[in-house]
Amino acid sequence: MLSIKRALRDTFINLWRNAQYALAAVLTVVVSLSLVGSALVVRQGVANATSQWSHGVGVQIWLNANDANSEVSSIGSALKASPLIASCNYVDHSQSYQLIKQVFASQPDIVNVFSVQTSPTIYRCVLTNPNDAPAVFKVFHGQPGVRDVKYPSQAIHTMEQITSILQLALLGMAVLMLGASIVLIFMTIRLAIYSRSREVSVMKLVGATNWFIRIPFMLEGLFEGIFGAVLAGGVVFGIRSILNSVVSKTDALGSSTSNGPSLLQATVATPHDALMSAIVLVFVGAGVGVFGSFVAVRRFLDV
Amino acid sequence: MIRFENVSKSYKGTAKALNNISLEINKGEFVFLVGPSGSGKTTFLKLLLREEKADVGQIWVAGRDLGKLHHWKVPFLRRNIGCVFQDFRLLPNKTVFGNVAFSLEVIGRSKHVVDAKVPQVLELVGLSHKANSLPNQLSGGEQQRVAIARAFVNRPLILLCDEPTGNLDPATSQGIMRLLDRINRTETTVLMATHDASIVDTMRRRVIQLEAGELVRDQSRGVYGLEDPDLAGERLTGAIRAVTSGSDTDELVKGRKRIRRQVSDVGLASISEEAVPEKVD
Ligand SMILES: Nc1ncnc2c1ncn2[C@@H]1O[C@H](COP(=O)(O)OP(=O)(O)O)[C@@H](O)[C@H]1O
Ligand SMILES: [Mg+2]
Repeated sequence: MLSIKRALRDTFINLWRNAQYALAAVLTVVVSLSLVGSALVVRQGVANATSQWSHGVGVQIWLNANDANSEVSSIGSALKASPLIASCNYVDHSQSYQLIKQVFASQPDIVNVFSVQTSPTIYRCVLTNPNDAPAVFKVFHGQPGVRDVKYPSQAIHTMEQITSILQLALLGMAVLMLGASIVLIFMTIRLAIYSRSREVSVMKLVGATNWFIRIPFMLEGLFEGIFGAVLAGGVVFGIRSILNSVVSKTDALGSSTSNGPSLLQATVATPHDALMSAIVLVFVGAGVGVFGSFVAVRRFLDV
Repeated sequence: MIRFENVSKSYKGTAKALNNISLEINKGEFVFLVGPSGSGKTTFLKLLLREEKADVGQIWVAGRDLGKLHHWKVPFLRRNIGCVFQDFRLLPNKTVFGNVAFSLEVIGRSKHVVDAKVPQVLELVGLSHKANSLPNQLSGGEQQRVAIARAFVNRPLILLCDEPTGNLDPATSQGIMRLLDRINRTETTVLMATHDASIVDTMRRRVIQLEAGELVRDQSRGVYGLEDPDLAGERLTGAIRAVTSGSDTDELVKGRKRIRRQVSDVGLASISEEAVPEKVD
Protein backbone atom coordinates (compact mmCIF):
# COMPACT_ATOMS: atom_id res chain seq x y z
CA MET A 1 0.00 0.00 0.00
CA LEU A 2 2.73 2.35 1.04
CA SER A 3 4.57 1.46 -2.15
CA ILE A 4 1.68 2.26 -4.45
CA LYS A 5 1.00 5.57 -2.77
CA ARG A 6 4.68 6.33 -2.85
CA ALA A 7 5.01 5.47 -6.53
CA LEU A 8 2.09 7.71 -7.41
CA ARG A 9 3.36 10.54 -5.26
CA ASP A 10 6.82 10.28 -6.80
CA THR A 11 5.28 10.30 -10.26
CA PHE A 12 3.42 13.52 -9.62
CA ILE A 13 6.36 15.16 -7.91
CA ASN A 14 8.44 14.34 -10.98
CA LEU A 15 5.81 15.69 -13.32
CA TRP A 16 5.64 18.88 -11.34
CA ARG A 17 9.41 19.31 -11.22
CA ASN A 18 9.77 18.79 -14.95
CA ALA A 19 6.56 20.60 -15.80
CA GLN A 20 7.89 22.32 -18.91
CA TYR A 21 9.31 19.19 -20.44
CA ALA A 22 6.27 17.18 -19.46
CA LEU A 23 4.09 19.80 -21.13
CA ALA A 24 6.13 19.63 -24.33
CA ALA A 25 5.88 15.86 -24.32
CA VAL A 26 2.14 15.93 -23.71
CA LEU A 27 1.62 18.47 -26.49
CA THR A 28 3.46 16.41 -29.08
CA VAL A 29 1.42 13.42 -28.01
CA VAL A 30 -1.73 15.49 -28.50
CA VAL A 31 -0.69 16.62 -31.98
CA SER A 32 0.44 13.20 -33.15
CA LEU A 33 -2.54 11.37 -31.76
CA SER A 34 -4.93 13.97 -33.18
CA LEU A 35 -3.47 13.16 -36.58
CA VAL A 36 -3.81 9.44 -35.94
CA GLY A 37 -7.35 10.00 -34.73
CA SER A 38 -8.27 12.07 -37.77
CA ALA A 39 -6.93 9.39 -40.06
CA LEU A 40 -8.98 6.77 -38.21
CA VAL A 41 -12.13 8.85 -38.36
CA VAL A 42 -11.74 9.63 -42.05
CA ARG A 43 -11.18 5.96 -42.79
CA GLN A 44 -14.24 5.02 -40.78
CA GLY A 45 -16.32 7.67 -42.52
CA VAL A 46 -15.30 6.48 -45.96
CA ALA A 47 -16.03 2.90 -44.99
CA ASN A 48 -19.47 4.00 -43.84
CA ALA A 49 -20.15 5.89 -47.05
CA THR A 50 -18.91 3.07 -49.24
CA SER A 51 -21.00 0.46 -47.52
CA GLN A 52 -24.04 2.70 -47.66
CA TRP A 53 -23.74 3.27 -51.37
CA SER A 54 -22.69 -0.14 -52.44
CA HIS A 55 -25.02 -2.13 -50.22
CA GLY A 56 -27.92 0.18 -49.59
CA VAL A 57 -28.41 1.58 -53.07
CA GLY A 58 -26.54 -0.47 -55.59
CA VAL A 59 -27.74 0.12 -59.13
CA GLN A 60 -30.57 2.36 -60.18
CA ILE A 61 -32.36 1.57 -63.42
CA TRP A 62 -34.25 4.59 -64.68
CA LEU A 63 -37.16 3.85 -66.97
CA ASN A 64 -38.79 6.05 -69.58
CA ALA A 65 -41.60 7.98 -68.01
CA ASN A 66 -44.31 6.98 -70.43
CA ASP A 67 -43.50 3.34 -70.85
CA ALA A 68 -46.09 0.67 -71.11
CA ASN A 69 -46.59 -1.56 -68.10
CA SER A 70 -45.51 -4.59 -70.06
CA GLU A 71 -42.02 -3.20 -70.60
CA VAL A 72 -41.76 -2.27 -66.95
CA SER A 73 -42.66 -5.76 -65.82
CA SER A 74 -40.44 -7.49 -68.38
CA ILE A 75 -37.49 -5.48 -67.13
CA GLY A 76 -38.62 -6.31 -63.62
CA SER A 77 -38.61 -10.03 -64.30
CA ALA A 78 -35.28 -9.81 -66.12
CA LEU A 79 -33.86 -8.15 -63.00
CA LYS A 80 -35.32 -10.85 -60.81
CA ALA A 81 -33.86 -13.58 -63.00
CA SER A 82 -30.40 -12.06 -63.04
CA PRO A 83 -27.99 -13.80 -60.66
CA LEU A 84 -26.09 -10.52 -60.28
CA ILE A 85 -28.98 -8.92 -58.49
CA ALA A 86 -30.10 -9.71 -54.99
CA SER A 87 -33.31 -7.70 -54.81
CA CYS A 88 -35.03 -4.66 -56.29
CA ASN A 89 -37.68 -2.27 -55.27
CA TYR A 90 -39.79 -0.28 -57.66
CA VAL A 91 -40.24 3.47 -57.35
CA ASP A 92 -43.46 4.28 -59.21
CA HIS A 93 -44.54 7.57 -60.78
CA SER A 94 -46.03 9.11 -57.66
CA GLN A 95 -43.13 8.07 -55.40
CA SER A 96 -40.71 9.36 -57.99
CA TYR A 97 -42.57 12.67 -58.14
CA GLN A 98 -42.44 12.95 -54.34
CA LEU A 99 -38.71 12.35 -54.53
CA ILE A 100 -38.26 15.08 -57.11
CA LYS A 101 -40.27 17.49 -55.01
CA GLN A 102 -38.12 16.60 -52.01
CA VAL A 103 -34.76 16.89 -53.72
CA PHE A 104 -35.55 20.12 -55.52
CA ALA A 105 -37.63 21.66 -52.76
CA SER A 106 -35.70 24.87 -53.03
CA GLN A 107 -35.98 25.01 -56.82
CA PRO A 108 -39.66 25.08 -57.77
CA ASP A 109 -38.72 25.77 -61.46
CA ILE A 110 -37.35 22.29 -61.78
CA VAL A 111 -40.23 20.67 -59.92
CA ASN A 112 -42.66 22.43 -62.24
CA VAL A 113 -41.18 20.69 -65.26
CA PHE A 114 -42.40 17.36 -63.85
CA SER A 115 -45.78 15.97 -63.11
CA VAL A 116 -46.74 12.61 -61.59
CA GLN A 117 -47.08 11.22 -65.14
CA THR A 118 -43.76 12.53 -66.45
CA SER A 119 -41.66 11.55 -63.45
CA PRO A 120 -39.35 8.67 -64.37
CA THR A 121 -39.93 5.37 -62.59
CA ILE A 122 -36.90 3.62 -61.10
CA TYR A 123 -35.83 0.13 -60.11
CA ARG A 124 -33.44 0.44 -57.15
CA CYS A 125 -31.50 -2.76 -56.94
CA VAL A 126 -29.15 -4.27 -54.41
CA LEU A 127 -26.42 -6.37 -56.01
CA THR A 128 -25.23 -9.76 -54.87
CA ASN A 129 -21.74 -8.43 -55.23
CA PRO A 130 -21.34 -4.63 -55.23
CA ASN A 131 -18.43 -4.92 -57.66
CA ASP A 132 -20.74 -6.26 -60.39
CA ALA A 133 -22.33 -2.86 -60.96
CA PRO A 134 -20.54 -2.36 -64.32
CA ALA A 135 -21.75 -5.78 -65.51
CA VAL A 136 -25.34 -4.93 -64.60
CA PHE A 137 -24.86 -1.65 -66.43
CA LYS A 138 -23.79 -3.49 -69.57
CA VAL A 139 -26.76 -5.86 -69.49
CA PHE A 140 -29.50 -3.29 -68.99
CA HIS A 141 -28.14 -0.15 -70.60
CA GLY A 142 -29.90 0.49 -73.91
CA GLN A 143 -32.63 -2.09 -73.45
CA PRO A 144 -36.06 -0.92 -74.56
CA GLY A 145 -37.76 1.17 -71.93
CA VAL A 146 -34.52 1.84 -70.03
CA ARG A 147 -33.56 5.48 -70.00
CA ASP A 148 -30.40 5.16 -67.98
CA VAL A 149 -28.50 2.85 -65.60
CA LYS A 150 -26.74 4.61 -62.74
CA TYR A 151 -24.32 3.22 -60.25
CA PRO A 152 -22.07 5.06 -57.81
CA SER A 153 -18.86 3.14 -58.34
CA GLN A 154 -17.12 5.94 -60.13
CA ALA A 155 -17.95 8.40 -57.41
CA ILE A 156 -16.89 5.98 -54.74
CA HIS A 157 -13.72 5.17 -56.55
CA THR A 158 -12.78 8.83 -56.80
CA MET A 159 -13.66 9.40 -53.20
CA GLU A 160 -11.67 6.42 -52.08
CA GLN A 161 -8.66 7.62 -53.97
CA ILE A 162 -8.86 11.07 -52.47
CA THR A 163 -9.36 9.78 -48.97
CA SER A 164 -6.67 7.17 -49.20
CA ILE A 165 -4.20 9.87 -50.16
CA LEU A 166 -5.51 11.98 -47.30
CA GLN A 167 -5.24 9.06 -44.92
CA LEU A 168 -1.75 8.27 -46.07
CA ALA A 169 -0.69 11.86 -45.56
CA LEU A 170 -2.30 11.99 -42.13
CA LEU A 171 -0.78 8.68 -41.11
CA GLY A 172 2.63 9.67 -42.42
CA MET A 173 2.60 12.84 -40.39
CA ALA A 174 1.17 10.94 -37.45
CA VAL A 175 4.02 8.43 -37.53
CA LEU A 176 6.58 11.24 -37.61
CA MET A 177 4.88 12.97 -34.74
CA LEU A 178 4.57 9.72 -32.82
CA GLY A 179 8.31 9.28 -33.22
CA ALA A 180 8.76 12.82 -31.93
CA SER A 181 6.53 12.14 -28.93
CA ILE A 182 8.43 9.01 -28.04
CA VAL A 183 11.68 10.98 -28.17
CA LEU A 184 10.22 13.78 -26.06
CA ILE A 185 8.86 11.41 -23.45
CA PHE A 186 12.23 9.67 -23.45
CA MET A 187 13.92 13.02 -22.80
CA THR A 188 11.57 14.05 -19.99
CA ILE A 189 12.12 10.72 -18.28
CA ARG A 190 15.85 11.02 -18.73
CA LEU A 191 15.68 14.42 -17.10
CA ALA A 192 13.58 13.02 -14.27
CA ILE A 193 16.11 10.26 -13.73
CA TYR A 194 19.00 12.72 -13.63
CA SER A 195 17.20 15.05 -11.28
CA ARG A 196 16.61 12.16 -8.90
CA SER A 197 19.94 10.42 -9.32
CA ARG A 198 20.82 10.81 -5.63
CA GLU A 199 17.62 9.17 -4.55
CA VAL A 200 18.05 6.45 -7.12
CA SER A 201 21.58 5.67 -5.96
CA VAL A 202 20.46 5.49 -2.33
CA MET A 203 17.58 3.24 -3.32
CA LYS A 204 19.94 0.88 -5.10
CA LEU A 205 22.27 0.87 -2.15
CA VAL A 206 19.67 -0.05 0.44
CA GLY A 207 18.25 -2.78 -1.76
CA ALA A 208 15.13 -1.41 -3.43
CA THR A 209 14.15 -3.76 -6.24
CA ASN A 210 14.69 -2.73 -9.83
CA TRP A 211 11.01 -2.48 -10.56
CA PHE A 212 10.41 -0.45 -7.46
CA ILE A 213 12.91 2.07 -8.77
CA ARG A 214 11.66 1.96 -12.34
CA ILE A 215 7.93 2.14 -11.83
CA PRO A 216 7.53 5.80 -10.85
CA PHE A 217 9.43 6.83 -13.98
CA MET A 218 7.42 4.52 -16.19
CA LEU A 219 4.20 5.74 -14.62
CA GLU A 220 5.27 9.25 -15.45
CA GLY A 221 5.68 8.31 -19.12
CA LEU A 222 2.42 6.38 -19.09
CA PHE A 223 0.62 9.31 -17.56
CA GLU A 224 1.98 11.76 -20.14
CA GLY A 225 0.96 9.43 -22.96
CA ILE A 226 -2.56 8.88 -21.67
CA PHE A 227 -3.11 12.51 -20.79
CA GLY A 228 -2.05 13.54 -24.31
CA ALA A 229 -4.28 10.83 -25.80
CA VAL A 230 -7.34 12.00 -23.90
CA LEU A 231 -6.78 15.54 -25.12
CA ALA A 232 -6.30 14.21 -28.66
CA GLY A 233 -9.58 12.29 -28.31
CA GLY A 234 -11.25 15.59 -27.50
CA VAL A 235 -9.67 17.14 -30.58
CA VAL A 236 -11.00 14.29 -32.74
CA PHE A 237 -14.51 14.78 -31.36
CA GLY A 238 -14.21 18.49 -32.03
CA ILE A 239 -13.09 17.96 -35.63
CA ARG A 240 -15.93 15.51 -36.18
CA SER A 241 -18.60 17.87 -34.97
CA ILE A 242 -17.18 20.80 -36.95
CA LEU A 243 -17.15 18.65 -40.10
CA ASN A 244 -20.65 17.52 -39.32
CA SER A 245 -22.03 21.01 -39.06
CA VAL A 246 -20.22 22.15 -42.23
CA VAL A 247 -21.58 19.15 -44.15
CA SER A 248 -25.11 19.65 -42.86
CA LYS A 249 -25.04 23.19 -44.21
CA THR A 250 -23.75 22.25 -47.65
CA ASP A 251 -26.27 19.41 -47.80
CA ALA A 252 -29.00 21.93 -48.46
CA LEU A 253 -27.33 22.43 -51.85
CA GLY A 254 -28.71 19.08 -52.78
CA SER A 255 -26.77 15.88 -52.99
CA SER A 256 -29.18 14.02 -50.78
CA THR A 257 -31.15 10.97 -51.70
CA SER A 258 -34.50 10.16 -50.25
CA ASN A 259 -33.36 7.66 -47.69
CA GLY A 260 -30.40 7.99 -45.38
CA PRO A 261 -27.68 10.60 -45.31
CA SER A 262 -25.95 11.84 -48.44
CA LEU A 263 -22.61 10.52 -49.59
CA LEU A 264 -20.93 13.59 -48.19
CA GLN A 265 -22.72 13.31 -44.92
CA ALA A 266 -21.88 9.65 -44.65
CA THR A 267 -18.19 10.49 -44.79
CA VAL A 268 -18.53 12.24 -41.44
CA ALA A 269 -17.92 9.56 -38.86
CA THR A 270 -20.61 9.02 -36.28
CA PRO A 271 -20.00 9.96 -32.64
CA HIS A 272 -19.70 6.24 -32.01
CA ASP A 273 -16.84 6.02 -34.52
CA ALA A 274 -15.17 8.99 -32.89
CA LEU A 275 -15.48 7.33 -29.50
CA MET A 276 -13.94 4.14 -30.83
CA SER A 277 -11.07 6.12 -32.31
CA ALA A 278 -10.58 7.92 -28.99
CA ILE A 279 -10.32 4.59 -27.21
CA VAL A 280 -7.74 3.42 -29.74
CA LEU A 281 -5.86 6.68 -29.14
CA VAL A 282 -5.72 6.14 -25.39
CA PHE A 283 -4.11 2.76 -25.96
CA VAL A 284 -1.66 4.17 -28.50
CA GLY A 285 -0.87 7.02 -26.10
CA ALA A 286 -0.28 4.59 -23.26
CA GLY A 287 1.98 2.55 -25.52
CA VAL A 288 3.97 5.61 -26.59
CA GLY A 289 4.38 6.69 -22.96
CA VAL A 290 5.46 3.30 -21.71
CA PHE A 291 7.81 2.73 -24.62
CA GLY A 292 9.52 6.12 -24.36
CA SER A 293 9.95 5.85 -20.62
CA PHE A 294 11.01 2.21 -20.73
CA VAL A 295 13.84 3.00 -23.13
CA ALA A 296 14.95 5.89 -20.91
CA VAL A 297 14.77 3.75 -17.80
CA ARG A 298 16.75 0.98 -19.47
CA ARG A 299 19.41 3.37 -20.67
CA PHE A 300 19.83 5.71 -17.76
CA LEU A 301 18.67 3.94 -14.65
CA ASP A 302 21.17 1.11 -14.94
CA VAL A 303 19.31 -1.24 -12.64
CA MET B 1 30.18 -14.16 6.72
CA ILE B 2 32.53 -13.03 3.94
CA ARG B 3 34.90 -15.24 1.99
CA PHE B 4 37.16 -14.35 -0.93
CA GLU B 5 38.77 -17.17 -2.89
CA ASN B 6 41.48 -16.16 -5.35
CA VAL B 7 39.59 -13.08 -6.37
CA SER B 8 40.95 -10.80 -9.09
CA LYS B 9 39.35 -7.77 -10.58
CA SER B 10 40.52 -5.32 -13.21
CA TYR B 11 38.68 -2.45 -14.80
CA LYS B 12 38.73 -1.86 -18.51
CA GLY B 13 42.15 -0.73 -19.62
CA THR B 14 43.76 -0.63 -16.18
CA ALA B 15 46.11 -2.82 -14.25
CA LYS B 16 44.56 -5.19 -11.73
CA ALA B 17 42.62 -3.35 -9.04
CA LEU B 18 42.64 -6.54 -6.97
CA ASN B 19 44.94 -9.48 -7.55
CA ASN B 20 44.35 -12.98 -6.25
CA ILE B 21 42.83 -12.09 -2.91
CA SER B 22 41.83 -14.87 -0.53
CA LEU B 23 40.55 -14.20 2.94
CA GLU B 24 37.74 -14.87 5.32
CA ILE B 25 35.91 -12.55 7.67
CA ASN B 26 33.73 -14.04 10.37
CA LYS B 27 30.45 -12.91 11.76
CA GLY B 28 30.85 -10.13 14.29
CA GLU B 29 34.41 -9.19 13.34
CA PHE B 30 35.61 -5.60 13.08
CA VAL B 31 38.04 -5.28 10.21
CA PHE B 32 40.05 -2.33 8.91
CA LEU B 33 40.91 -2.28 5.25
CA VAL B 34 43.97 -0.10 4.85
CA GLY B 35 46.28 0.92 2.06
CA PRO B 36 47.13 3.97 0.02
CA SER B 37 44.78 5.60 -2.42
CA GLY B 38 44.21 3.40 -5.45
CA SER B 39 45.18 0.21 -3.66
CA GLY B 40 41.78 -1.36 -4.25
CA LYS B 41 39.84 -0.77 -1.02
CA THR B 42 36.74 0.66 -2.66
CA THR B 43 36.86 -2.06 -5.29
CA PHE B 44 36.87 -4.63 -2.51
CA LEU B 45 33.73 -3.11 -1.01
CA LYS B 46 32.04 -2.83 -4.41
CA LEU B 47 32.60 -6.51 -5.03
CA LEU B 48 30.82 -7.30 -1.76
CA LEU B 49 27.84 -5.23 -2.86
CA ARG B 50 27.87 -6.78 -6.34
CA GLU B 51 28.28 -3.28 -7.76
CA GLU B 52 31.16 -4.94 -9.59
CA LYS B 53 31.70 -8.57 -10.43
CA ALA B 54 34.96 -10.43 -9.90
CA ASP B 55 36.81 -11.45 -13.07
CA VAL B 56 38.28 -14.51 -11.41
CA GLY B 57 37.59 -16.30 -8.15
CA GLN B 58 34.64 -16.67 -5.88
CA ILE B 59 33.10 -14.36 -3.31
CA TRP B 60 30.73 -15.57 -0.64
CA VAL B 61 28.66 -13.12 1.37
CA ALA B 62 26.18 -14.30 4.00
CA GLY B 63 26.09 -17.73 2.44
CA ARG B 64 25.57 -16.52 -1.14
CA ASP B 65 27.94 -17.11 -4.01
CA LEU B 66 27.95 -13.66 -5.61
CA GLY B 67 29.16 -14.94 -8.96
CA LYS B 68 26.04 -17.07 -9.26
CA LEU B 69 23.64 -14.57 -7.75
CA HIS B 70 20.86 -13.62 -10.17
CA HIS B 71 20.70 -10.01 -11.22
CA TRP B 72 17.24 -9.61 -9.67
CA LYS B 73 18.41 -11.01 -6.34
CA VAL B 74 21.12 -8.38 -5.87
CA PRO B 75 18.74 -5.97 -4.06
CA PHE B 76 18.00 -8.69 -1.53
CA LEU B 77 21.72 -9.18 -0.95
CA ARG B 78 22.06 -5.46 -0.33
CA ARG B 79 19.32 -5.50 2.29
CA ASN B 80 21.81 -7.45 4.42
CA ILE B 81 24.60 -4.94 3.91
CA GLY B 82 24.63 -1.38 5.20
CA CYS B 83 26.89 1.21 3.57
CA VAL B 84 28.47 4.40 4.83
CA PHE B 85 30.59 6.73 2.72
CA GLN B 86 32.99 9.59 3.17
CA ASP B 87 30.52 12.03 1.59
CA PHE B 88 27.49 10.90 3.68
CA ARG B 89 25.16 10.72 0.61
CA LEU B 90 22.12 12.05 2.43
CA LEU B 91 19.12 13.36 0.54
CA PRO B 92 19.21 17.12 1.05
CA ASN B 93 15.46 17.66 0.79
CA LYS B 94 14.55 15.08 3.42
CA THR B 95 14.78 15.49 7.19
CA VAL B 96 16.95 13.27 9.36
CA PHE B 97 13.91 11.13 10.06
CA GLY B 98 12.99 11.12 6.36
CA ASN B 99 16.46 10.05 5.29
CA VAL B 100 16.50 7.11 7.67
CA ALA B 101 12.88 6.19 6.93
CA PHE B 102 13.62 6.27 3.19
CA SER B 103 15.77 3.16 3.35
CA LEU B 104 12.92 1.22 4.95
CA GLU B 105 10.20 2.66 2.73
CA VAL B 106 11.91 1.74 -0.51
CA ILE B 107 12.21 -1.89 0.50
CA GLY B 108 8.49 -1.93 1.15
CA ARG B 109 8.39 -1.75 4.95
CA SER B 110 5.09 -0.57 6.36
CA LYS B 111 4.61 2.80 8.01
CA HIS B 112 4.12 0.95 11.24
CA VAL B 113 7.60 -0.58 11.02
CA VAL B 114 9.12 2.74 9.93
CA ASP B 115 7.59 4.59 12.85
CA ALA B 116 8.87 1.98 15.27
CA LYS B 117 12.40 1.48 13.96
CA VAL B 118 13.53 4.95 12.96
CA PRO B 119 13.26 6.58 16.41
CA GLN B 120 15.07 3.57 17.86
CA VAL B 121 18.06 3.91 15.59
CA LEU B 122 18.12 7.71 15.96
CA GLU B 123 18.34 7.14 19.66
CA LEU B 124 21.25 4.77 19.11
CA VAL B 125 23.21 7.34 17.09
CA GLY B 126 22.24 10.09 19.53
CA LEU B 127 20.23 12.25 17.15
CA SER B 128 16.68 11.92 18.48
CA HIS B 129 16.56 15.64 19.09
CA LYS B 130 17.49 16.41 15.47
CA ALA B 131 14.91 14.16 13.83
CA ASN B 132 13.26 17.04 12.03
CA SER B 133 16.40 18.86 10.92
CA LEU B 134 17.57 18.93 7.33
CA PRO B 135 21.07 17.63 6.54
CA ASN B 136 22.40 21.11 5.80
CA GLN B 137 21.52 22.13 9.36
CA LEU B 138 23.82 19.46 10.79
CA SER B 139 27.56 19.24 11.41
CA GLY B 140 29.63 16.75 9.41
CA GLY B 141 29.75 14.34 12.34
CA GLU B 142 26.01 14.51 12.78
CA GLN B 143 25.46 13.92 9.09
CA GLN B 144 27.65 10.86 9.24
CA ARG B 145 25.63 9.62 12.22
CA VAL B 146 22.48 9.97 10.14
CA ALA B 147 24.14 8.00 7.36
CA ILE B 148 25.09 5.29 9.83
CA ALA B 149 21.54 5.25 11.18
CA ARG B 150 20.25 4.84 7.64
CA ALA B 151 22.66 2.00 6.98
CA PHE B 152 21.87 0.26 10.25
CA VAL B 153 18.12 0.76 10.62
CA ASN B 154 17.34 -2.43 8.74
CA ARG B 155 19.75 -4.37 11.01
CA PRO B 156 22.14 -5.54 8.31
CA LEU B 157 24.51 -8.43 8.93
CA ILE B 158 27.40 -6.42 7.56
CA LEU B 159 28.23 -2.74 7.72
CA LEU B 160 30.63 -1.45 5.05
CA CYS B 161 32.27 1.91 5.65
CA ASP B 162 34.34 3.54 2.94
CA GLU B 163 36.52 6.12 4.65
CA PRO B 164 33.69 7.24 6.92
CA THR B 165 35.92 9.65 8.85
CA GLY B 166 37.63 11.05 5.78
CA ASN B 167 35.81 14.37 6.02
CA LEU B 168 35.79 14.68 9.80
CA ASP B 169 38.14 16.15 12.38
CA PRO B 170 39.85 13.74 14.82
CA ALA B 171 37.55 14.37 17.77
CA THR B 172 34.44 13.83 15.67
CA SER B 173 36.01 10.78 14.10
CA GLN B 174 36.48 9.26 17.52
CA GLY B 175 32.80 9.66 18.22
CA ILE B 176 31.98 7.92 14.94
CA MET B 177 34.37 5.10 15.81
CA ARG B 178 32.72 4.64 19.20
CA LEU B 179 29.40 4.36 17.40
CA LEU B 180 30.77 1.80 14.94
CA ASP B 181 32.23 -0.14 17.82
CA ARG B 182 28.85 -0.18 19.50
CA ILE B 183 27.22 -1.42 16.33
CA ASN B 184 29.89 -4.08 16.04
CA ARG B 185 28.99 -5.30 19.51
CA THR B 186 25.48 -6.15 18.25
CA GLU B 187 27.10 -8.98 16.25
CA THR B 188 27.21 -6.83 13.13
CA THR B 189 30.28 -7.45 11.03
CA VAL B 190 31.97 -4.11 10.36
CA LEU B 191 34.40 -3.63 7.48
CA MET B 192 35.93 -0.20 7.28
CA ALA B 193 38.25 1.11 4.58
CA THR B 194 40.37 3.93 5.92
CA HIS B 195 43.41 6.11 5.58
CA ASP B 196 43.32 7.21 9.14
CA ALA B 197 46.32 5.69 10.93
CA SER B 198 45.49 7.04 14.37
CA ILE B 199 42.06 5.42 14.34
CA VAL B 200 43.42 2.06 13.33
CA ASP B 201 46.15 2.35 15.93
CA THR B 202 43.77 3.14 18.77
CA MET B 203 41.14 0.57 17.86
CA ARG B 204 43.56 -2.35 17.56
CA ARG B 205 41.38 -4.56 15.44
CA ARG B 206 42.06 -6.88 12.57
CA VAL B 207 43.85 -5.06 9.76
CA ILE B 208 43.85 -6.09 6.13
CA GLN B 209 46.33 -4.13 4.08
CA LEU B 210 46.26 -3.78 0.33
CA GLU B 211 49.03 -2.46 -1.91
CA ALA B 212 48.30 -2.03 -5.59
CA GLY B 213 45.65 -4.70 -5.45
CA GLU B 214 47.74 -7.22 -3.52
CA LEU B 215 46.91 -8.43 -0.04
CA VAL B 216 50.14 -7.61 1.85
CA ARG B 217 49.05 -8.04 5.45
CA ASP B 218 46.25 -9.63 7.40
CA GLN B 219 46.82 -9.13 11.07
CA SER B 220 44.59 -9.43 14.07
CA ARG B 221 44.72 -6.43 16.42
CA GLY B 222 47.10 -4.60 14.12
CA VAL B 223 48.12 -1.02 13.56
CA TYR B 224 47.87 1.11 10.45
CA GLY B 225 51.44 0.76 9.24
CA LEU B 226 53.99 -1.90 9.95
CA GLU B 227 56.72 -0.42 12.13
CA ASP B 228 60.41 -0.71 11.47
CA PRO B 229 61.19 -4.19 12.89
CA ASP B 230 64.46 -3.09 14.54
CA LEU B 231 62.74 -0.26 16.35
CA ALA B 232 59.91 -2.57 17.35
CA GLY B 233 62.39 -5.11 18.67
CA GLU B 234 64.11 -2.44 20.75
CA ARG B 235 60.82 -1.38 22.26
CA LEU B 236 59.99 -4.97 22.94
CA THR B 237 63.14 -5.57 24.92
CA GLY B 238 62.51 -2.31 26.77
CA ALA B 239 59.07 -3.47 27.69
CA ILE B 240 60.22 -6.87 28.81
CA ARG B 241 62.90 -5.28 31.00
CA ALA B 242 60.25 -3.06 32.56
CA VAL B 243 58.07 -6.06 33.33
CA THR B 244 60.82 -8.19 34.82
CA SER B 245 62.26 -5.40 36.98
CA GLY B 246 58.99 -3.84 38.03
CA SER B 247 57.54 -4.51 41.45
CA ASP B 248 54.40 -2.39 41.25
CA THR B 249 51.46 -4.44 39.88
CA ASP B 250 50.21 -1.46 37.95
CA GLU B 251 53.56 -1.19 36.20
CA LEU B 252 53.46 -4.90 35.53
CA VAL B 253 50.06 -4.77 33.84
CA LYS B 254 51.05 -1.79 31.70
CA GLY B 255 54.27 -3.47 30.73
CA ARG B 256 52.56 -6.66 29.66
CA LYS B 257 50.13 -4.69 27.55
CA ARG B 258 53.02 -2.94 25.87
CA ILE B 259 54.69 -6.24 25.14
CA ARG B 260 51.57 -7.57 23.54
CA ARG B 261 51.21 -4.53 21.37
CA GLN B 262 54.81 -4.59 20.25
CA VAL B 263 54.65 -8.26 19.49
CA SER B 264 51.55 -7.98 17.40
CA ASP B 265 53.02 -4.93 15.63
CA VAL B 266 55.82 -7.00 14.23
CA GLY B 267 53.31 -9.56 13.06
CA LEU B 268 54.06 -12.13 15.71
CA ALA B 269 50.53 -12.36 16.97
CA SER B 270 50.85 -16.05 17.68
CA ILE B 271 53.87 -15.55 19.88
CA SER B 272 52.17 -12.87 21.88
CA GLU B 273 49.78 -15.40 23.37
CA GLU B 274 52.63 -17.49 24.78
CA ALA B 275 54.95 -14.65 25.65
CA VAL B 276 52.52 -12.89 27.89
CA PRO B 277 50.60 -14.75 30.57
CA GLU B 278 46.89 -14.31 29.98
CA LYS B 279 45.75 -13.91 33.55
CA VAL B 280 47.33 -10.61 34.40
CA ASP B 281 45.01 -8.36 32.38
N1 LIG C 1 35.37 2.56 -12.39
C1 LIG C 1 36.68 2.40 -12.60
N2 LIG C 1 37.17 2.34 -13.86
C2 LIG C 1 38.48 2.15 -14.08
N3 LIG C 1 39.39 2.04 -13.11
C3 LIG C 1 38.99 2.11 -11.83
C4 LIG C 1 37.62 2.29 -11.51
N4 LIG C 1 37.49 2.30 -10.16
C5 LIG C 1 38.73 2.14 -9.68
N5 LIG C 1 39.63 2.02 -10.67
C6 LIG C 1 41.06 1.79 -10.51
O1 LIG C 1 41.21 0.65 -9.71
C7 LIG C 1 42.26 0.85 -8.76
C8 LIG C 1 41.72 0.68 -7.36
O2 LIG C 1 40.83 1.72 -7.05
P1 LIG C 1 39.98 1.83 -5.72
O3 LIG C 1 39.41 0.51 -5.44
O4 LIG C 1 39.06 2.97 -5.85
O5 LIG C 1 41.10 2.15 -4.65
P2 LIG C 1 40.98 2.85 -3.25
O6 LIG C 1 39.56 2.84 -2.81
O7 LIG C 1 41.88 2.03 -2.38
O8 LIG C 1 41.50 4.23 -3.40
C9 LIG C 1 42.83 2.23 -9.04
O9 LIG C 1 43.95 2.07 -9.85
C10 LIG C 1 41.74 2.93 -9.79
O10 LIG C 1 42.28 3.85 -10.67
MG1 LIG D 1 38.37 4.50 -2.26
